[in-house]
Amino acid sequence: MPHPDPQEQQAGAQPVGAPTAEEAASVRDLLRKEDTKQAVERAKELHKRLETSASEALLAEAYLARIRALRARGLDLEASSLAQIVAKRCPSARSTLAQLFPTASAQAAPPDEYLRPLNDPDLPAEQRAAIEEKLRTSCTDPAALALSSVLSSDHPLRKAAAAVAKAFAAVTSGPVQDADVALPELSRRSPLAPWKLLIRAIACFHRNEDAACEAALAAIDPGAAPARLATALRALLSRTPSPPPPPTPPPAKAALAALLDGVRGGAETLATALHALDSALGGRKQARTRNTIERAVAACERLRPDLLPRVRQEVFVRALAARIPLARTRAALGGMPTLDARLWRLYARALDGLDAPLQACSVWEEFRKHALQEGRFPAKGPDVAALYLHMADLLQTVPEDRLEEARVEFKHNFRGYQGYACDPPLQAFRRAPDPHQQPTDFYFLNTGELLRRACEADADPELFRRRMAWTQSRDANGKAVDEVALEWHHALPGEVAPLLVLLHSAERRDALKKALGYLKLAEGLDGLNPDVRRAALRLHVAITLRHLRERQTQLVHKDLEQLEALPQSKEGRRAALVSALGWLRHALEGHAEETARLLEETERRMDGNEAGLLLLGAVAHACKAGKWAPALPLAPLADRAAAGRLARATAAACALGEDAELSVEIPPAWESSLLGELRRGAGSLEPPELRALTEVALRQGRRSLAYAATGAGLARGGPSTARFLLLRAQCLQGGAVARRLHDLAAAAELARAQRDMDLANEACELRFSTCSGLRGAFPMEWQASASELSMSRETADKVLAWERAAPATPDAYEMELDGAFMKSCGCDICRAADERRSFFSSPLDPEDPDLTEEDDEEFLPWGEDAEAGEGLEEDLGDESVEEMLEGFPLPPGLPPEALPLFAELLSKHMLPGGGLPTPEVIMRRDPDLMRRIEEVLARSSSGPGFPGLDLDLPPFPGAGRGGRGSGSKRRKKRGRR
Amino acid sequence: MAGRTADPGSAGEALAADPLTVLGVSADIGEEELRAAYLQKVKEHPPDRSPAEFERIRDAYEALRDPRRRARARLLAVNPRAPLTSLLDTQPCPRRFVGPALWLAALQEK
Repeated sequence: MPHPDPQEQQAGAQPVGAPTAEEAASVRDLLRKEDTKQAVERAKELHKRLETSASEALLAEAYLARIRALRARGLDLEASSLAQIVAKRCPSARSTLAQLFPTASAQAAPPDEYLRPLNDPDLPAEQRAAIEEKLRTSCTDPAALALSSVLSSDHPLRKAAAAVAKAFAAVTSGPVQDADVALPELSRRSPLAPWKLLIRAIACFHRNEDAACEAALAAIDPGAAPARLATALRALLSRTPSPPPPPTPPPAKAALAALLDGVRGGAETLATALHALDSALGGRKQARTRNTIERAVAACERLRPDLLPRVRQEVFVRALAARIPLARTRAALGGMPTLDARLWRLYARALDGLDAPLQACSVWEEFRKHALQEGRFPAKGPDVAALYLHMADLLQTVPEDRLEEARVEFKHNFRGYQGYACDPPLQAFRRAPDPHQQPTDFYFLNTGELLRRACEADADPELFRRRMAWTQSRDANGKAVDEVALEWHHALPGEVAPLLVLLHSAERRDALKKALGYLKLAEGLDGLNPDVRRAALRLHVAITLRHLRERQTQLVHKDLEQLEALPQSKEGRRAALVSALGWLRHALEGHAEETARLLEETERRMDGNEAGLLLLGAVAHACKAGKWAPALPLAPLADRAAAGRLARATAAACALGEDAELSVEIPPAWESSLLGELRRGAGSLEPPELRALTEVALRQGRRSLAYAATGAGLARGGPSTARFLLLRAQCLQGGAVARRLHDLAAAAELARAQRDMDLANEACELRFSTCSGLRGAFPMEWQASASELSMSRETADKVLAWERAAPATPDAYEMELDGAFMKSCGCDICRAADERRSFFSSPLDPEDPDLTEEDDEEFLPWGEDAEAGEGLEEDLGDESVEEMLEGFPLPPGLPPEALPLFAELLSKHMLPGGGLPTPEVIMRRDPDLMRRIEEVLARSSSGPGFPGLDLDLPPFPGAGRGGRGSGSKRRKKRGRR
Repeated sequence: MAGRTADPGSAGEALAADPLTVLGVSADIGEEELRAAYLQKVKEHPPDRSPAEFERIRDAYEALRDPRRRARARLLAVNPRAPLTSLLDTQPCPRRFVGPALWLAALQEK
């Protein structure tokens, strides 16, 4: 339950719209002094000015006191007349009036005939108990009971009722102490005892003692009359935002609503206004929205001025989201909201969910600047690093091939958000070049720079790892990788990872001496690190291979000694590698006897003739000594034992090759035999061997083989299941999108359950890149939901079971999830994929309104006017060249073959407002098109020539807002395609 | 495509429930308060009685105890799509004295 500021309550601070504590107190002072006439006048003035439920309540209170005073003086007729007027003016007082005037309602106070017997001191106990029970359950106004004329003025019940009425008035009118409302004269057996508990509950409520309030409410007998207010009090205690009431509250609950609204300072009224605004913004009716904004802001200003700055910011951002022009929003809000970090973050978060990553980055940059200025976080540290990283994530949602183009477009149109503070506000995206524009640092559109800044702001290994992964994804062997690794090494000299990257890079460049230097550094930091040990083995193998390649066989002896000295070279089948390298050395030197011995040793160490031969062949090919590669045996067609042996041999050689980064070619002649064995389960292979076989097969593009190997791996179960599910996803071809995404999500979930976060991250990474690659093929919302797909363990198990049962036919790697699975799964991906499949399997309906009707939907950059950034990139689609060029002022003498090119030019490069960029800009963006235009014009001797064409064209008729309606039709068609 | 999910926090976010919600804390919570909230939750859901819930709580704590993940949670802790009425929840509702009439009217209402 929210606790109001006690100081506010003590001071009686009231929001605008409610009588201030002083105003209410002045009315009640007059009532205490029994100057009811004056009290009514003052309350009327207040209500006339404020017109809120609270002011009405105060007026009703004054009126009721006045009516009671009139009746006390015997002026029943005047009291009754006044009551009729009050009943009209103050609906909330009607119930109390009904009690004061029993003819109006029999329910208000117990009938006289019930009370009269209580005057009899000899009344039988049973009858007394019955009357008291009636009072307990039906007396809803102790003040009315206190005024009852049928009881003597000194009757204990009248006295008790008067005390209760006084305490009730006190507790609902201002802060009270417990002693003030203790009501010691009221016994537990009194029919008015439940009122005592209610008064205590209300006192606790106003003191923010919610637990005590609950306890007092719980103690009230549910059958007693005051228990009916327990619901109201509990609703007031609830922290849940006041649900907006229906447009016309049912009259039966009007008083309850008035009470809740009054006590909460108009929260219900404000909630209704905000709810209406939410609906209006969702409805996108701009005229209606503007009025609703004005009403909501006015209600907030009147009822909760403390919330006004936030409400204005929220409304501003939502109005931008609803594409209401800036100037109109500003007018509706009565000015711009505070443009602080809070607003920019809200705006940026709103853009995060839309297809506007570049614009989102620009707003996040605005947030960063304001946050630094406001001291929300320092210029360096985890907060700003998290921000850079988030921006980098956003940019990575744009496929690389489109990013550069989008970047150029954005830079061309963006003029910054400074104009928002102007009067009238300026759009962030211009319609024409602005010669006075300050140069902007567009670093926020550069993923690499964002990642660099993130690492600079917070030297965190995880950030460097991210940056390294991104750099490697762009150019695995480039200089940039080394630069990042060096920066990483300098920022975190205790980290092994950058040294391993540098080592690997040097090794790839054949700078083996340099690589050895890095290895020494890495061993100095963590010699037992498995990656360092593996790198040492790999490097020594690489040195030996180079010497063999260069036929410096005299050096190989020493190399092999060093290799053998490594403890890790004795693990598993690695000793076979040493033998194989020795074999080639002796073969090259012509030592037949030693060659034969080492060949045999290699085969023995590889546990088989075939595996040994495969390894020897791989070593020979790696050293450009293919002629020494031993001949491989033919694959048996029917012998299952031999097929098993081949599978074991291939897997063993692949595993060793992966270990030492030695390329092992799976013999094509063995493939069908291997496939057969793998589809039978390949029981003799260990999961690491199956994994190596899958990875080698994937690298060599042997998808059937890889798919079959993952099938065998999945059938094994155990801790490798998640890895095989991920490999299975990698085997799947382009069409099986839903299946691939499900496999990756299930792999991530299984990996997470095993706390293998590296694998989970790898799966998420692949899922993300899969989704990025699908832009345009699926709706935007689908992609967002697909890239964020998380899966319950139960669904992951279902996916696993489906994959295990999936057939192992030759083209199974192209098979999508079946309809039954999609229906039972029911996730967003399945729904969209199912719809897509249905759509593509049904012929296009020429009458489909989506394909035939014009629509006036505009493509706008988020929150800007239509002209400010209308879609710049359109394809010609089905629109004819004549349609495209209709009304366009073409240069005279243009050859007909140039028309399609001009149509393409317009389609691709027309600026918002209708002009074209300068020829230089077009040349930069689309050199191919420019070249083709120039060629056509040059071929035409009578043609105007390109330089003669005025490219600063007047606005294209129908361009601008809605003028490219056919563009939206094209977009729709393209989306459907 | 480089590591979107290697990003601290994002893998966890994609895979598990929002750690802030699980622990019932706000994004700008400090180290000490986070630990206190975690211990309170563990007390409510001990591993022997509700192992699944305990695991969620532990995962959420693991996700948030890293200051970098907390920074990310802080950064993204606004929801521009929440209903506008949720603003009323961010500030405590006032509790105003309205006199007895409104209370009695509500009590007498059928």
